[in-house]
Amino acid sequence: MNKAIKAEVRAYLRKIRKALPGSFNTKQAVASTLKSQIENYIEDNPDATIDDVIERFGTPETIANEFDVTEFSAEIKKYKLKVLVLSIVSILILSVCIILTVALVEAFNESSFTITDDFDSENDRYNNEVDS
Amino acid sequence: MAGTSDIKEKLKRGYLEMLILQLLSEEDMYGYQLKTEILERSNNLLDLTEGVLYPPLYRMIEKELISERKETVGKRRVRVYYHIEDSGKVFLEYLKSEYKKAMEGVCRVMKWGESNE
Repeated sequence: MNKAIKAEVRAYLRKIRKALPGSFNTKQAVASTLKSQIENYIEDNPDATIDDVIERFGTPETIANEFDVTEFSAEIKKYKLKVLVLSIVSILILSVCIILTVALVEAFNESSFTITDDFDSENDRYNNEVDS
Repeated sequence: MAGTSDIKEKLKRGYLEMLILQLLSEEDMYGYQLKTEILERSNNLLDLTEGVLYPPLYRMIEKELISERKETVGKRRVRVYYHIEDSGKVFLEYLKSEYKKAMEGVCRVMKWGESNE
C-alpha cells in the first residue's frame, strides 16, 4: 500500500471507529477486521483510490447504521459512567496535588522566616554580649 | 424521497442476519464471498457494501452464533472465514419461521399475490 492511500485508509478507519456505537472493544474489533480486508482489496487492486475503497466497503455512516443502537445502550451507558467516574477521580487527584503543593510551599516559606528570625535574634544577642 | 434510506436500512437490518446464517449453514465463507453470494442469489436486488456485513457478523460472534477463523492466503494475506455454530443453526430456523410468518402477514395485509391485484 502506498503512503498516500495508507493515510487515507487510516483516516477512513478513524471515521468508522468514531461513527460506531458501543465500547472501545467493539469499535476495535470491527475496525480491525475491516482494516485487514481493505489491505487485501488494495493488494488485489493496487491502483484503487479511497473512493474505490468506500464504494466497496461503504461509508462510515452506512457501516455504523448496521449497529442497532438499542442493543448497545446498556454498554454505552456503562462506558459513559466509566468516563465520568475517571474524570471525577482525575479532578480529585489533581486538586489534592495542588493543595499539597501549596501547603509545601507555605511550609517552606515559613521555615525560611523561622531560620532568618532565629539568626537575627542570635545575631542581636551576640552583638549585645559583645557590647557589654 | 426523504427518509427512504432510513426505511431501507431498518428493513435490511431485519433480514441480514438471517441471510448470513443461511449462507454459512451451507459452507464457511469470508466477508466478500458473503457479499457476492447475496448479490448473485438475489439476482442483484440486494447489493450490499462489504462493510455493512461486519457489524452483524460481529454481533453474531458476540452471541456465539458463529465463530471466525483466520487463514493465511498467499504469502501474508489474512482472510477471515466465518462458521456457523450449533446455536446459530437453531437461531436460523427460528428466524426463518418468524420471517415467513411476518412475510405472510404483510402479503395478506397488502393483498399481494391476490388475483385481483
